Amino acid sequence: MENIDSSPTEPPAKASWLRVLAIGANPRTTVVRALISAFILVVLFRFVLLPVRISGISMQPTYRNRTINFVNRAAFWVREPRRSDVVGYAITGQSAMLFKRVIALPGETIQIRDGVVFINERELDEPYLKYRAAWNTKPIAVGTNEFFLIGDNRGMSQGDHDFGRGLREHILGKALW
Amino acid sequence: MRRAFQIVLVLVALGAGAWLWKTVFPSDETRILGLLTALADDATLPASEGNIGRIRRIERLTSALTPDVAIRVTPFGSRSVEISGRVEVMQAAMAARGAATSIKVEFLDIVVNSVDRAAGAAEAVLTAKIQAGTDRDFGIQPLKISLRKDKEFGWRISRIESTRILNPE
Repeated sequence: MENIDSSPTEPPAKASWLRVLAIGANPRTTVVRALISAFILVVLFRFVLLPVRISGISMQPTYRNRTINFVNRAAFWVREPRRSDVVGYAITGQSAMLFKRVIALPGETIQIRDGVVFINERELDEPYLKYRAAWNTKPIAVGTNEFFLIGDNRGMSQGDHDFGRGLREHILGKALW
Repeated sequence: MRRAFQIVLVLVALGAGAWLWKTVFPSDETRILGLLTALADDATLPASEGNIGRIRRIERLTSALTPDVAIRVTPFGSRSVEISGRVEVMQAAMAARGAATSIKVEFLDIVVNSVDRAAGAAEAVLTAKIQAGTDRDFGIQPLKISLRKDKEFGWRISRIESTRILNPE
C-alpha cells in the first residue's frame, strides 16, 4: 500500500528584490558569471585593448591633452602598420607609450622640407595636419624593421617634438579612434 | 579524496618553499629591481614631509649611488644636466627639494638587461615618470642605468643616462 502524504507543501520563500538585485536569483550562477566576466575584462584590457591617457600636445588637434583612448593590439596581429595609422609606441614596456602617426614605411626615404613631408621625393598628402611650421630634416632612410613616426602638431618647435625612426617590435597597436 | 588532498598539500608546500627561498636568497635581478624601486621612492618628495624626513630621503637616495656616480640626462626639449659624484647629487637633490613643493617619481617598466656576475656589473632600462606639484600632467624620460656590485655595499648605481625613444636621423 502506498503511503501518500496529504499535507499541503509550502511554496518556496520568494527572495527579496534587493537580494536579487545584489547577488541574483541564484548566487552560485552569479559568482560564476562574475568570475568569467572578470577574466574576460582582465584579458581584454591587458592584452588586447590597452587604455591610455594622452599627456602632451604633440598629437593635437587630432588628440587633445588629457583625453582617454585605447591601443588596439589586435590591429597588427594580421597586418603590418600602414601609413597614417596612429599607433602606441612602447618605451621600455607598455605602462607608458608614445602616441604617434606612421608616415614612412620600411625601406622608404623621408625628408621634411619647410614643414612638407616627402617620401621617396614625392610630397605626402597629410589632411590631418592643421599646423605646419618650417621643419627641416636631412633625407632619412627607414630600415627594414623600422617605421617613421611623428605627431600631428607640427606647429610646435621641431626641437620639442619627439619624432623619428622606431622599431617595429615597439609598436604595440593602433589607436582605437 | 585523501590522495588529492595530499597532492595539493605537497604542491602548496613546494610553492611556499620556492617563495621562501627567493625571499631569503634573492637573485641579482630581484635585488636590482628592489634597489631601483626604492630609488624612485626616495626621489619622491611628498608635500607634507618635514625637513628631517627630506634629509633622510636624500641620504637613502645617495647611499644607492657609487661615490663616482655620473648622471647625464637630457630631458626632451631641454638642456642636458650633468652631475658627477655623490656630493653633487646631494646638492642637486637639496636644491630641487627647496624649489618644488612636491615631486612624484615613478620608475615604470624596469627591465634588467644584463647582469655580469663575474665582473660585478649590470645594466637596466626604465621609464621615469615625473609629476611636479599638483599638476595632472607628467613628464616621461627613458633612462639607462649602469650598476656595479662590491662586497661591502652590494649593487649600487654608477651611471644614469637618458636615452632617446625615436631616432630622428
